[in-house]
Amino acid sequence: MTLLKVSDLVVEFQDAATGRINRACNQVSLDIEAGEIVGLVGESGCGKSTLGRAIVGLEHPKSGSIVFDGVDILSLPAAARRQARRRVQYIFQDSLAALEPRQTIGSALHEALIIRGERNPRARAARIGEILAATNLNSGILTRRPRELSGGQRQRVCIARALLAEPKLLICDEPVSSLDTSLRAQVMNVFLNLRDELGVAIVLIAHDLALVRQASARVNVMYLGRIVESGPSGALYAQPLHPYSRALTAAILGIDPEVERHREQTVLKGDLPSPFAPPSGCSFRTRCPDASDRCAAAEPAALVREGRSVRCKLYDETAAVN
Amino acid sequence: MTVQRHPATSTVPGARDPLLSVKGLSVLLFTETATVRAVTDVAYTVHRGETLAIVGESGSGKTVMNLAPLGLMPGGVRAVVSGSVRLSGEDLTQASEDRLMQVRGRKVGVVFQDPLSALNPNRRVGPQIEEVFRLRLGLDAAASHARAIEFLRMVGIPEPERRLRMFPHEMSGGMRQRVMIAIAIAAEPELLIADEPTTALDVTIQSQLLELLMRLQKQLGMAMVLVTHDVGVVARVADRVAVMYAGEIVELGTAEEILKRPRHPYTRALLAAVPEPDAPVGSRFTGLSGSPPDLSNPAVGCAFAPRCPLVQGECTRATPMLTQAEGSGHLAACWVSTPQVAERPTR
Repeated sequence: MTLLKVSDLVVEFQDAATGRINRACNQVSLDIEAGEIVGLVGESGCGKSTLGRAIVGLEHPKSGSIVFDGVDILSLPAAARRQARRRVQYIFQDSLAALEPRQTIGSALHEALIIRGERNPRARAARIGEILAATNLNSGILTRRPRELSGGQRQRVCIARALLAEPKLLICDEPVSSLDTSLRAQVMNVFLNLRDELGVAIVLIAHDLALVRQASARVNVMYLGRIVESGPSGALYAQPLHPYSRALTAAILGIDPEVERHREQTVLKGDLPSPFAPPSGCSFRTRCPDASDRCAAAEPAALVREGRSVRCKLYDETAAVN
Repeated sequence: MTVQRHPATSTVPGARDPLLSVKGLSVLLFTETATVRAVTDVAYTVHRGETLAIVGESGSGKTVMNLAPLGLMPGGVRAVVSGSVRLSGEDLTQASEDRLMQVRGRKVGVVFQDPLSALNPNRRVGPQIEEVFRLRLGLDAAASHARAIEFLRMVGIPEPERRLRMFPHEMSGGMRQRVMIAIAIAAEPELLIADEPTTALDVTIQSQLLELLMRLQKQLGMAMVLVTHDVGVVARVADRVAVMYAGEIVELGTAEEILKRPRHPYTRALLAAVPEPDAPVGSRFTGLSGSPPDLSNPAVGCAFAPRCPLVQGECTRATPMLTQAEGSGHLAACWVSTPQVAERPTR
């Protein structure tokens, strides 16, 4: 069952000084099934966080639609939108900033339930007990304050608080990137358990490509506001189609020094172009090793085949031949 | 016992003595609220032209170990350094503040994780690079300007004349880090210390910068100490590796030894935590439970014992020493995986 369907979503920002427009999400479409983990990857400034924030209501799309749990959210009046989005929750990268520093964890969790109308303290305590178990936390943390916890524990507290809203969808924006490598598993495994045991769907926004691959059933690659490729993560990483996906997956470093020392030179040159003045045609062409004149002429359409989708002239032609 | 030396250095003339030789280095940090033993009795060497990676997680002491002996500590933190840090024979722990400033400018270049805070946001990039040539090498304004253009080109910045007129915030993160690298290598130092140089950057920019660092190192014949938490970066650039945990070096050896035949349980955990490229999709992640010890209140015995899967009685009674594995220069500090011998290892 499709839980979330984002269609042709456009989110724009205007530079107050110059009046120029940055189209952070440019006709983005995305589907998520119930209980599915979907990855969203790309370089800083590609629009992946903007997309996540738009889904949860932190950005105001210019056009397009977001259908969550059968409800067309953007067509509703503001109050009804909030109600419709109750079961979408957001997990931020910085767990320290997401929690009130002077409030104990127990108080923060009780408060979240009081806001949801649970007046009975005993019922709240029971519910919090369940949530702590689901996030692999010990009840000893309830009397502590955010600074007294490790980064991994704190991020799991944020997940616990989000779970009190009984979400069907979690948007997780770089949830483990501020954590040490050895502590990331604590948080990532909680996500996998939530999917398996509670059927929670997750949008995993991260720049750690290997981590996204292992956690996500499907992955979307974004570049300058466009999803340029999407597909099942195993297939996409094993055989990336878009030249940008190829460059990204080629940049994943392994841990064998004999392999890594002799790896090929980087294919991708230069920086991301300014999102306020993206290149004409295919926006990746200025860094693309396979670019030719036709890439500047028009933006490539998405070619969809066998559960995979790619926006690139290389495949436009193949499609015409077939 | 054979003298332990890295093969790559044997081709460099005059490489017999290490460029950097650290012995018995400890660093105590005094903050407002606590005294922290950030680094405890570490010893390592770096030869000319070689890259030593220092790998460890937040709070392991990897940054303090490298920067405190150079007099580089954040404001408000007083560091007391003991032991010896010899750079081409000169003990930096005995050097005056003035002398350290000279060493930092000319003999050692430093690249930090965050170039935005290392560059002055109110000044154009050009004068910030040019002053390095004027102050450290005594060049005049015209020569400094020409050198700045040359160095920006060397670190792969297109249109250097135009970039010199930019402010740091007008540049991308990758380009700012290239500017930092240009400043660090401006005086052609013998040693480059790069502290998490690519951590804040995207993967494609990270791989460009790692290549740049490797190329410059070869071109200028520098030794490099690369501080990182990223095992993939270690595999890409390191000749030798020191693994730090709770302020101590717990394992030291060549990149092959550390990454392919790790001995210390912490190193093994660190490697196991890197997602494998062919792990089944949806499979569980491997990591460590618990968190590193509080260094303002160190416990008796091996600091890793509370999180270690192999812990035994001895581990909580006494601290294991870095000990050589049979017939190699590969050192590990572990009672279980590297049985301790009476003889002290050669470092």
